[in-house]
Amino acid sequence: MIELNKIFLNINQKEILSNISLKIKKNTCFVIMGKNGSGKSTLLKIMNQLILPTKGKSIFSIENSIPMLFQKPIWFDNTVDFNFHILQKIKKGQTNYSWYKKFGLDKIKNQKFTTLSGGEKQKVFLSRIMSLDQDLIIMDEPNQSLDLQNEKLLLNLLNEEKKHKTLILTLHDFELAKQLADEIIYLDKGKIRLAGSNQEFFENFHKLMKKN
Amino acid sequence: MLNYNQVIESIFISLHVSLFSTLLSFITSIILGYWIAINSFQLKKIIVSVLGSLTSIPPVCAGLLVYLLISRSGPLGWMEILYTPTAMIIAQFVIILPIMMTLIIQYVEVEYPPFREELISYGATKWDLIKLLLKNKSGVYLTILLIGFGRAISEYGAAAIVGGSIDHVTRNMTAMIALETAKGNILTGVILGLILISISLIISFMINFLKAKN
Repeated sequence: MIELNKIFLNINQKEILSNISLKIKKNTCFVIMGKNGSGKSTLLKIMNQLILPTKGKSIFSIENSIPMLFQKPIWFDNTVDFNFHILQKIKKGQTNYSWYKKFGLDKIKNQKFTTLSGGEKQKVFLSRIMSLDQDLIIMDEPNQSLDLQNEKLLLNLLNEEKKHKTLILTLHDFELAKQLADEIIYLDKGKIRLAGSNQEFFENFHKLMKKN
Repeated sequence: MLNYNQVIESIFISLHVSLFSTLLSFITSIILGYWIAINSFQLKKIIVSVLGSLTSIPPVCAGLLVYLLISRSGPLGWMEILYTPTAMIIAQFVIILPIMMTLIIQYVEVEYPPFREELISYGATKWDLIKLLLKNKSGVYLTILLIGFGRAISEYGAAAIVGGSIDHVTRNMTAMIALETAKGNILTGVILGLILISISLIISFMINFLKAKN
């Protein structure tokens, strides 16, 4: 579905990503992990064809970029409902309300967006992306600002989606990655330090950490 | 003595001229400001820094410039608008346009990049982006309107040069205050000044009310 082969990205003569090769199969959950500034979000944008790499070969099964969950999604000084629906008007597709209802946003739909907590805002952003009903879901730190209860709900919802969709996520939370991912890569200073299936990754990750 | 009708007339002239110049400047700032902010071109940095410098243009100089343009021997003399409210609107427009445009450019330059990145993933066109950006944070536009209007209604030099302070035609509040004070009618000047401040405060209150409501 997505294949990157020896991808390099330089911005202002600074190497952001170096020699990235990976393959994401259909209906799997691919997780990118790594510290802040390791290049996770940038790699996600390359996978979504929003950034062109400086060097390397990439193969995508879809022609254009698709709506994705950004780390700092845009929002409007209006109601919850307005923020949920506004981007649908551009995409002009059917609206899937399932996440919106499961997160209980229908109960606060007339509330001003600015009065929401960080976690509630994140639920709006998550529901907004999921309302588009895409086969490929790309999310940058989907669990940020969520409390434990909502993180558990997110985990269940993503596990449900995983059965018939392809997920590409960046995560900081190892526990969440363990419960979700089929394949994981660990980025460090723009390079893949570790890659493998869920089991392989966690077996080798401890060794890698001990070595450092 | 203070003539009630003259005061009402000057209030009306002040409001008419300042509201028109503010609205005209706001519309121009939105169109040009957005265009400058979202496009990359060679002279962009120079234009932005010139606009920044022009934010502090002395009103008298702006008035003089407009006077030279519209006076009988000037290139726009054929329009015959010297000493009319239209001339005052143009002069105030010249003063507040750089201020409003600079504020719009600064706002759009900050807001546009994250909008662009996310909305491009939705397949949005540049026009979709602009429409959504215009819909967002209306409070910012109201503040910019308020700043422009405040500057327009309080300035004296430019409107006096091109308006000529003609009774019943171009004598606005600031011109009337200057005239009455020069005549030695200090109390009248003070009363007129207080009226002008009250009008500014009422309009500012109305805009802030709108902002809060939004």
